[in-house]
Amino acid sequence: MFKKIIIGILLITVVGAAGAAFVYQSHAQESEQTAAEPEPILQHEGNQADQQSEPQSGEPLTAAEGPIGELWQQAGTITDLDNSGIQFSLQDGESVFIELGPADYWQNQGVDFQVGQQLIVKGTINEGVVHASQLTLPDGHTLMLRSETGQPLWSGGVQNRQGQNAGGIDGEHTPDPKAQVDDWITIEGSLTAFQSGSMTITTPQGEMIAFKTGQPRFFTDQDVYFQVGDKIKVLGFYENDQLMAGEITQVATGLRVMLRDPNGRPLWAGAGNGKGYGGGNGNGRNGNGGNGMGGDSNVGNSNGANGNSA
Amino acid sequence: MTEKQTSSPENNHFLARVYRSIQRDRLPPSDDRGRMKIVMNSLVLHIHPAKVSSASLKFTYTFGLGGLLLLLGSILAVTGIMLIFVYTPSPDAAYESMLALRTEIPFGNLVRNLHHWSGNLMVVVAVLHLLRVFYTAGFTRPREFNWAMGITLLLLITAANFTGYLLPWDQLAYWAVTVGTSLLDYVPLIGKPVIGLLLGGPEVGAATLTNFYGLHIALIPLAIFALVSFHIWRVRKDKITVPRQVNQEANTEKVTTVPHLVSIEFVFALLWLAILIAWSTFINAPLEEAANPTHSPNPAKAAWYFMGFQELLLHFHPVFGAIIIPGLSLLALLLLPYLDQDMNTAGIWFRSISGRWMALVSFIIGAAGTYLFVILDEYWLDLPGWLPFLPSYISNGWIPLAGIALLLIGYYELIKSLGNTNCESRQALFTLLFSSFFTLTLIGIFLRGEGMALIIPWS
Repeated sequence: MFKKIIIGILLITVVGAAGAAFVYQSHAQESEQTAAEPEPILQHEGNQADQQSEPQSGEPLTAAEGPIGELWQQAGTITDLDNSGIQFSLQDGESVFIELGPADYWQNQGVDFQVGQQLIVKGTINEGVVHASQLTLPDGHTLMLRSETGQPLWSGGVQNRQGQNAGGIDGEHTPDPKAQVDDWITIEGSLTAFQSGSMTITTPQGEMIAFKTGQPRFFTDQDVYFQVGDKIKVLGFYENDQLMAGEITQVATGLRVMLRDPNGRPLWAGAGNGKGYGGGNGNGRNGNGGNGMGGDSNVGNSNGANGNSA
Repeated sequence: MTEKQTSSPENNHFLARVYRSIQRDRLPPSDDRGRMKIVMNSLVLHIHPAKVSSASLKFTYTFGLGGLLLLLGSILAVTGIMLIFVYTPSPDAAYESMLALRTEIPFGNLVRNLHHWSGNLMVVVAVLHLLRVFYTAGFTRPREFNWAMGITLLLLITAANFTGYLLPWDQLAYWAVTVGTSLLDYVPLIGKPVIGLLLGGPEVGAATLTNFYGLHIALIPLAIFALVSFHIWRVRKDKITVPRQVNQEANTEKVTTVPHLVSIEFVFALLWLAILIAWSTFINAPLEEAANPTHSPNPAKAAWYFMGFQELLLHFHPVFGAIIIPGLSLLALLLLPYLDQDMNTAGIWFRSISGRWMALVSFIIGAAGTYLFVILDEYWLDLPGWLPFLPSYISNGWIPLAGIALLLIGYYELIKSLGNTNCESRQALFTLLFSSFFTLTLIGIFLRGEGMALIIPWS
């Protein structure tokens, strides 16, 4: 009897999980197919363009640009999201999939999409797929994903000045090339070791990565306290094979400590280190978006190490 | 010196008294009674009974694994004591000690190599000993508790090896121990306190080295010595199972331990000593660059005997990979002899001819199936992605565990339906699981590259 109960529970688990996965995936696939069908979207785009002579973002649509596809702009609500984009319900009830590029790019900028969130998406449609270039959030902030020419901003925009805010929304300053960091990377995992000036993180894959944090006092001054075992997210860059942390986020609390500016310069270097980095609020992992740090305070406020505004 | 060698009666009288005060029995013994007395009056030989079954002397029954463990333990004790005189357990000096052993101290490298290889071999031999006892049903009544003691000893041997792993304070040691201890982090409630106690702080550092050193040279060896003494005493009391063939009665003939068993053991010990010395002369124990807490190797792997667990963590939610699955396995291992009702097959390798075949087939299925599952999980299976609305301990823990449990139950019932007894079916299941863990360990050691990415050998 006991054995049968156990087998029953196991069977229900496995069959239930298989069924749920099948239904979920079928639904997701259907949604993707709907999003991929070009005609309804194009038709909708036309309607929308007619209805909105002045789009919600306030930027008029321009003519289609050859190889990168036709411009596309819609307002709607997020109904689902994954690592490559969002399922987007338009105002007329239609659903499309918006490709946003690598998730870590926008996640690194502090953007956290939620189902039900309303957005205005500007992008291009090419072969039935919508590639977002700019998202406008309900609070009015914008997230830039691609340049006007369709160049993804995550594909190394420093050299060609295509990083966000390289020309920038605020665009008031030019990066110091000596301090410029080319490749910011993000790692997530569990804090394994923590000692003066360095931390070690264990990723879910079991890889252990040590990185430099700079002066511990600096982030305790920011009222962020880490303990071994904390799930953390580290944004940093490699310098001579050594990972240098620019920003550490405590996942459970959402608290974030900023250690370096977008150019990789330590923020603990002394008074006035925030000066001259602009007062803008643009994005820009590779660009030099303003981080709004005052000379008297090392603590970042609304902007992350990337100076994001999203 | 013997009585014959003494010249004067006075000397004879005095020296004979001294000699007899040390060695009470006449050597060599002239009859069986004398031989039995030697065993009974000797501290060391007293681990054996005065007489043993002649059938159990057959090498292919025990492979001398228990004796080899004692030999390795003795080598470890001797070489370990020698190393204590050189080694300084501090981060600043530990690595220097290793370099000194390699380059300055006469025979230092040989002693360290002997210690290292004997320690690692001990883990392997302890597992093989466990398998030998299991596959010959050596845990049947009244030996159930001794089986549990043996498993505890295996855990202690692993602990001894693991604590010794850190002592060279090189990159391999530092990061293997960092990874190994981080596995404990997943144990609810006690995980963090135990880590704190072991490491002497939040991370591997000077306090950890001191703690591990103390555990390695004192606490764990003492515990092993105490348990081994008890374990051997129970073997004496419970008696070793007598080997026999299927459908044959056991040979009840007994012979004296001296010289029949002792001579075999002596030759066996000399042979292994020669092998170990030769091996340690030519193969150096690994020593990488000095530990660098700020720069981990990629991939950072645990000690080789923990790689099966590290591999499990790549496929299951940590609560399941690090706690539930190993915990259930250990519990099942401890309970195995208490589930066994078949006393008539004790002493028969794999219980029967059919049991032998089932074990072989199960081993192959376990190895192939595990490898297949690992590949599937690496490239296709994505339960958390397929079921994103479920918490990951369900989608990546309970659900895959339930699926595997169902497969195992199905396999057990299939083996039984083929006419095998409960014991043979359990044996097949154990073999499958052992083979699976063995395969996971091999994959972890050899087929995980940078970022723990799976390496496909033929690609």
